[in-house]
Amino acid sequence: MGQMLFQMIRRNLKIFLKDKANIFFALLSPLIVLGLYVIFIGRMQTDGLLQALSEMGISGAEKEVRSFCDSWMLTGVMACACITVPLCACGVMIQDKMRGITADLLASPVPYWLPRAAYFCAVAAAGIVLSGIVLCICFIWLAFSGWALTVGEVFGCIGTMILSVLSSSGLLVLLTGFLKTEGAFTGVNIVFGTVVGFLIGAYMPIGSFPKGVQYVTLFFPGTYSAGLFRNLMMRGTADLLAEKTTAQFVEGLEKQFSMTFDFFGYEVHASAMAIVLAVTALVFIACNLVITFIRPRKKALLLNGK
Amino acid sequence: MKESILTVENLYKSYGKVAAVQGVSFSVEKGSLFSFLGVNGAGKSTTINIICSILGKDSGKIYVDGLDLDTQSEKIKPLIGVVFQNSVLDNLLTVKDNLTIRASFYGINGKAWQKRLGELSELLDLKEILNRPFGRLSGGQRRRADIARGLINSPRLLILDEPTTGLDPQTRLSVWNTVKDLQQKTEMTVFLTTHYMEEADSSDRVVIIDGGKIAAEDTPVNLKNKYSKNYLYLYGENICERLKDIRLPFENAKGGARIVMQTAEETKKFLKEHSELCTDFEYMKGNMDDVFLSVTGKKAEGGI
Repeated sequence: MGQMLFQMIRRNLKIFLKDKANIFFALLSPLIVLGLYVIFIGRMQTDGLLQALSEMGISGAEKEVRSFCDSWMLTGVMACACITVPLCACGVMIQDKMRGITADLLASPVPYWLPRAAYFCAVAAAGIVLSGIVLCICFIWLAFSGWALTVGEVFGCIGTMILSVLSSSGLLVLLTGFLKTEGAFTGVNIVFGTVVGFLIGAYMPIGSFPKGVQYVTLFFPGTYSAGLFRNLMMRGTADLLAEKTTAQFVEGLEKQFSMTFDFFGYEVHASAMAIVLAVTALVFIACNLVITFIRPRKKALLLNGK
Repeated sequence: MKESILTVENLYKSYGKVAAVQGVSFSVEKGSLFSFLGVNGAGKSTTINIICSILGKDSGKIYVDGLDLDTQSEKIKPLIGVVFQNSVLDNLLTVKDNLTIRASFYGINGKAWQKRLGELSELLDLKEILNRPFGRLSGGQRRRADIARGLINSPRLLILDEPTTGLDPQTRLSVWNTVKDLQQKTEMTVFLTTHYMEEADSSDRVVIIDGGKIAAEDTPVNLKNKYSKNYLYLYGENICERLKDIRLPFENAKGGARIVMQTAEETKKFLKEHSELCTDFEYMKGNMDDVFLSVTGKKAEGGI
């Protein structure tokens, strides 16, 4: 059984990674976040903050402001990658349905739960590998723009990345299981890829959205993933900025850049974000398990003509 | 009569209002080459998908090697090998990787798998293509790899769903020869669905399915005797005029005349009685095309 699961995970992962287009499209959203930041969002954010500081009569914090904005952009890149990589990796599930590989699995003595478990593990593994590479690139960027992370925060980022990937993989494998055609999957992929950057506040801080929209984003697990990344990757740069400016100014920025959330009047801090993310991961994995136990019963009834 | 490896009793399956299979019953003898013959949409693939536990049935019973599909499908699966009409191997992976993954489904790993891979490689001449990506193989090579996938678990019953459809005539012939060789070498039961008459003609037993119902069932020879005509072709100078003179019914054929003969005995008698007309002749038994046309009223598809 273990060998069967291992071979299936290996197969799903190989099929995803061998297609270079898959990797490109999986990383397209994070690349767009990066591209937009380099082209204009970065300058907009930096200029806006420097303007506010000059109005307060504070100058000489250009490097800290840039590091702060850079780390905000990198949290968006990371949070995006943790969703879009698993999403693209789910494409193997649809290809298998279209090519009749699902029929081959049904005709083979493979336990009903195994294909879904293998899809989940492969999607999560692909997410962890590629998001891990993106995280390394983010660390290199931070090292050049002004390193301010503690060892604990580095491990925190790695943990958040794994937790985010597990949560999004659970949700996406669950959703993809209900899709039947490549067209439907492409549609979901396009909508998700486009909307995800806005929902998690990668293109602009969630604090700039109207209150109603801000509340909507709170029901999306990626928001908590992005919030947690911000608390870990931006904390050091925020502290450095506080040294050059005022604690009050930075506190305002933390809210504006969604390092804490307002959940209908309650303030959500990093620890709560980590709990929400872990709970969503567990719930989605449990839902997948429930489905694998419901489906064989349905199948058995079908085989008996009931 | 030999023991049956597969018994299908009164099988029904509908897709909404479309009745795909309507009360099909048949059995397949152990070690035989069995053909399920019918045009596209006749109900062949639906029947085998039910046998392979891919589709549910509406009613009826199926037994594989004495095991009831309703209650023992998990025990039946390791006894069956399937070669699907469309390949189910992964284009980006090598043939070896593809087969190794599928071998794990049957608990065949490590040294046992290396041994089995060697056997399959020899049986189907896979050595040259084992390390090549499946997607880069030719049609015939792909089919050989597909057949190897079906044989991984040394099945007692190998089901081939239209294995030669979509292949060029030369490749079709080569794949068909591979299937026949395999059946002869391994004495495995081969259950074949096809719409090519030549393939059905080489089988031990043929079931013709039409509109979801069995239209005829027997050995190819018996089917031809029952449903087709035999022809005696006579060639020679003015043969048609000479036949007209003795008032024998005939049809014009290329370069001669064709006379319908009911039996071989009748032909022998004719040859004796009209030896002067039979200086150059050809006797041809009816083929499966005639049988199919006579049984279903539909023209057979394809031809090698």
